[in-house]
Amino acid sequence: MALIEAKNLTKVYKRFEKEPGLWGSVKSLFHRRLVEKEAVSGFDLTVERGEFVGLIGPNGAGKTTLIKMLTGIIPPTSGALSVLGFTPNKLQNELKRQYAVVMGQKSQLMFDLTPADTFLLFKRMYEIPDDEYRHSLALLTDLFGAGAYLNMQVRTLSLGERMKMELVTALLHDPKVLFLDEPTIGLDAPAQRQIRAFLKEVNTRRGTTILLTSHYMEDVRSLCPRSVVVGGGRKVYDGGTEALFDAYQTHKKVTVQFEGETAFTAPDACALLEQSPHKAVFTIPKERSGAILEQIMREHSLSDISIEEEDIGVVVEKIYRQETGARL
Amino acid sequence: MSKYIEVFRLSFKMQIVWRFDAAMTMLMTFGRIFAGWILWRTIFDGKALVGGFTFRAMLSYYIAGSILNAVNFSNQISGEVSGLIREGRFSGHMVTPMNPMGFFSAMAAGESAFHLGFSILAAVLCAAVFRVDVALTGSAPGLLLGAAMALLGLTFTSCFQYFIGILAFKFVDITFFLHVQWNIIAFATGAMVPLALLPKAALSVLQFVPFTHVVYTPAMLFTGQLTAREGLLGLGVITAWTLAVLVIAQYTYGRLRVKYEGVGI
Repeated sequence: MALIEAKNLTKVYKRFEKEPGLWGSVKSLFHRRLVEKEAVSGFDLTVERGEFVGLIGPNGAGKTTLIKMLTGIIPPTSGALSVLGFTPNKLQNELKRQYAVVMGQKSQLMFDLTPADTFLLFKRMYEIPDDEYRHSLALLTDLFGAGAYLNMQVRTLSLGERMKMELVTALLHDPKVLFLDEPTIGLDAPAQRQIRAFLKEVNTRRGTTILLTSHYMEDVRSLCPRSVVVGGGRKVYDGGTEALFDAYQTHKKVTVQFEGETAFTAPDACALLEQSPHKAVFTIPKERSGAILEQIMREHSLSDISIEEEDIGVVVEKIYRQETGARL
Repeated sequence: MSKYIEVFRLSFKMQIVWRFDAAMTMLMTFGRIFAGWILWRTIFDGKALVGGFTFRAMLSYYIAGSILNAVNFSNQISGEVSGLIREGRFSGHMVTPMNPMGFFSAMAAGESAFHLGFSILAAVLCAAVFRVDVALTGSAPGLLLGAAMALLGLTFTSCFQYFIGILAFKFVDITFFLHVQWNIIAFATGAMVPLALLPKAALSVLQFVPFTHVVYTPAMLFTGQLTAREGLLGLGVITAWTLAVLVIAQYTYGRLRVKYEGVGI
């Protein structure tokens, strides 16, 4: 039996709309217009034990709403949902003891105290036996090399250190499922790398099923063999991550800095995004990137060059357009 | 239960972190007692009794009431809970295996326990400086009953405040409810004036109101102005109200939490 099963899941939010200005506010005292927004629509999802699944999508796609429904924070408007055999929105402790949630922008740590103090609370809350707690804490802090700041006041930790402690807190009770909502948001590259390595290790060593949402392509690409792309509240792709990027990430974004003032003309098949006498930003087709870059370097004196993967939002937009024929 | 004891300890530890805040709280209790001393001395000027109280009995009541009022930190719960709901951060309490009402009550109890020591110290200092001869009851049943009522009073106000806080699931902004309950509590607890000064008819109604038994009755018991037998009715009333508000708050949470959307946050 699958660990997570969602069938035809839909969530409709009702929002209040008000005309601008003082008169609009006065009118809204007597008459309020409610607008419905379908944040998630007819969503099917099955996740098996031990999987590491990436949920990809632009802002407002419905990823966080989906996580909120899966963890029971909000009920679905319609559809069937089962997590570890439970209905999440019943908020039964039996289920809550088996999963953990880390939301990048919401902390579980007690800011005035040390991480070790919060760990003690979680030990009691999840009824973790002493031996298991000691073993789990040693393993997790060792994986992160985070022993040095267990006894520091949380508010004095850097963002990266704090996120590591959030993850240790969430994993102390060895949950079967871990929901991660933007765990690397705002972190620098080394901290992101450390967190990725940690999550990979946890997934492999403990067999923890992980559902990850992230804006960073690298998070999903390096961690999740399977990706689910969400656009406009609908599932637009569900399959292998590499296959997804091979099929849809067709261009690279190149930024070149010239040594002197240069009148640059983008080569054929390239799309110019930004240009100044000293700099040009353009996209090039992935399969011709080598030849085109060689040509540019031959024709111009460059002081710097950087090549980036296509933005996750562009990839999703392409999939969405291909699947539905509409724009996001 | 052990998880709530850990929350209590956590809250107690949090108070120790902020030494300046703790010292200022003590100073404020000291200041409040000093202000009460000036006020009642002026009122009693030339009079032996006011509302059946001697100056000594009145000041003793005022000190006991001030301490009970100052250490009850549950009045922060409603604002904190409603703020968390509005900002979408209450979700953290929904995904962990702990009753949110128990969590917030244990946090308030930890804070109260920490400040109790400071408040008693401030009262002792104040009594020494102004040579106030505090009239404490020598009756063990009276003291025990007062302590039990103070504890139940804290439990009641915690649950009640939590109930007000979770109304934010439906109303989002609960300022109106907060104002109403602040006014009722300030009056009915006897924190403003000893309830004995009120007309008899008002008093007979108030004895069935829970807030009366949060500060007034325990303070009267501690200062020996009510006997244990007289206090028993209060104990029954506050116990019944505590159980009732516990059930109502749990039921309301179950009904309202499904309305939680936290859209856009």
